[in-house]
Amino acid sequence: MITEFSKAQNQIKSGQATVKSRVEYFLKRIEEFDGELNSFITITGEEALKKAEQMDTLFSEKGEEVFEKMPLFGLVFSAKDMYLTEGVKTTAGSKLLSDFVPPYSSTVISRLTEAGAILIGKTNQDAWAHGSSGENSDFGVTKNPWDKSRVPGGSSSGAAVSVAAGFCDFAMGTDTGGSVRLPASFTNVVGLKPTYGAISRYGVIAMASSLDTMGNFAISSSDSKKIFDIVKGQDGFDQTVLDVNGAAPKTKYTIGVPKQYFSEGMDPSVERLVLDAIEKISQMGHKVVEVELPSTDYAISAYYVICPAEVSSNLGRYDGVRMGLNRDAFGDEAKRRIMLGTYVLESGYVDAYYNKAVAVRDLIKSEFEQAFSKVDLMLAPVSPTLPFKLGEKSNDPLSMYLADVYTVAINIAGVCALSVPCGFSDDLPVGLQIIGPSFGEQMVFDLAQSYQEATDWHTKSPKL
Amino acid sequence: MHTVTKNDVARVASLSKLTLTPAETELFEKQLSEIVTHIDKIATLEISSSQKHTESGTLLKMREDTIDELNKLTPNEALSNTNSKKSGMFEVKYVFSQTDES
Repeated sequence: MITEFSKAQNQIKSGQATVKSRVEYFLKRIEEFDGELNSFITITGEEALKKAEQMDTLFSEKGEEVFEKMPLFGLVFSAKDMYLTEGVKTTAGSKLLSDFVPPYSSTVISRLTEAGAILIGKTNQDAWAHGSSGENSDFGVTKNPWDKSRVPGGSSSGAAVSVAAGFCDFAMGTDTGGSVRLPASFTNVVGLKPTYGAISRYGVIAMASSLDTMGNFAISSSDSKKIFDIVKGQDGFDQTVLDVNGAAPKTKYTIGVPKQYFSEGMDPSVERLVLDAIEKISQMGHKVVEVELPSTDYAISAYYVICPAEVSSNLGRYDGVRMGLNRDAFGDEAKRRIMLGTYVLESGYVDAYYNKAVAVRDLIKSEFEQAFSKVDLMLAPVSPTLPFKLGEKSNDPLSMYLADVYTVAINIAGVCALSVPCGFSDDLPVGLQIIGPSFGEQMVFDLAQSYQEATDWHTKSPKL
Repeated sequence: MHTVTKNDVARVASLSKLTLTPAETELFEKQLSEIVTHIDKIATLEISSSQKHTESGTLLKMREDTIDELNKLTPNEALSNTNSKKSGMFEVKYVFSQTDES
């Protein structure tokens, strides 16, 4: 399969482009179109151009061997502003950290840079990754390039838009409850939520430590796999990371469709497109069966107990002493989650809420394990709706939380999932969620790749 | 079913070291009540858990408490983002007043 990455690198190999000319091209597009979309908080153009020149020199000296040693040589990426970047402002989308310049970089950023990728900027997001629309950013909303009156999905809003709008080759986001998959689905790009424990969280601002995963956005699943293969694995700084070779790809898969993921309240046009995609995959020769995930209904409740509980602890460190402003600088959503977390951990409520939520997590995990004892992969929608209008849910936090109904259980179970473009309704994109078992990424990428070879949804890009 | 009162909001705000305006207190009382009503469905479940593992399924493991020379911050790096430093250290408010010592 010809991927965006291989096309880009072939242009460099053949002399049609230089690394510098590619960086210049992206910077020009950002300058031209990002004023309205607002996907970036910080552009690192000068540094990117300097690195590009060094890489062009390296290529002229060493030739094509640089692509073997540095598999992402010459590719340009953006990173959600949760990733610490040495010497480059990192805000988490919050004015509390508006002047914070980290003294070191996250493992993910270091590994991508060592593999030859060039950082072009830090992207906009819901502050502290709290949100499903991008509207909770203290740096202004990011708009959906397919319809600028609509949200791009969150919380990795800017990262998704930076790929969808052609501002870079790929982007890093974070997914704690759907924050990569939802914006990927809303902007017609591929978005990976890796297995918990596959990629180090070192140097990434913590939201909910038992759920946070380091995901990526790309045009094709093959490209997403290349990024995953570079950043995964132990680094000695995150004890939850394991070096595991999960199940290998197969020629034919048994695929489960969890019936609880096609519930009332789902937009009929989204349901139609997801069912069409499942039918297409069935026609490709895979066996599709119905599976049960009976506790799905409890997932959102458990998530909105565990997540705020961990948020209240993780955001406790921001007291204005070592970095940033004081706690008055937290926005409404951060305050809500900190207080909700404090409430469910209080001595009078901890048994009713937090301890119950942890028990529900065990139940959901075991239901996923049972399902994956019968099937290799599962297919489901990413979002129950099309991208919604800016402002539609911003004053109703509960309805915003319910946008995560099909994504949070995957984080609770700790398994992996990929959102892959599967069609359009009213010119708005829809994503199909391919769910794999723990460390089952290679099977997920494999099925997604064959689906993308058989369809052309991912080749469509928005008119800016 | 639990409801969140104005007093609850004031108490958890204080525990969370957050200062709220009266308007915020009123707004959060309404919003947190709606959220708590929704999450209440798990409070009635009769299940329990004994979680001994990390999320990736490994047993919690410890490491030696040694200094990693390659990855430590210099004092200047550690202080590079603070607005309150004194004599090469973070300057913080008193935790205890001098009278507490007696």
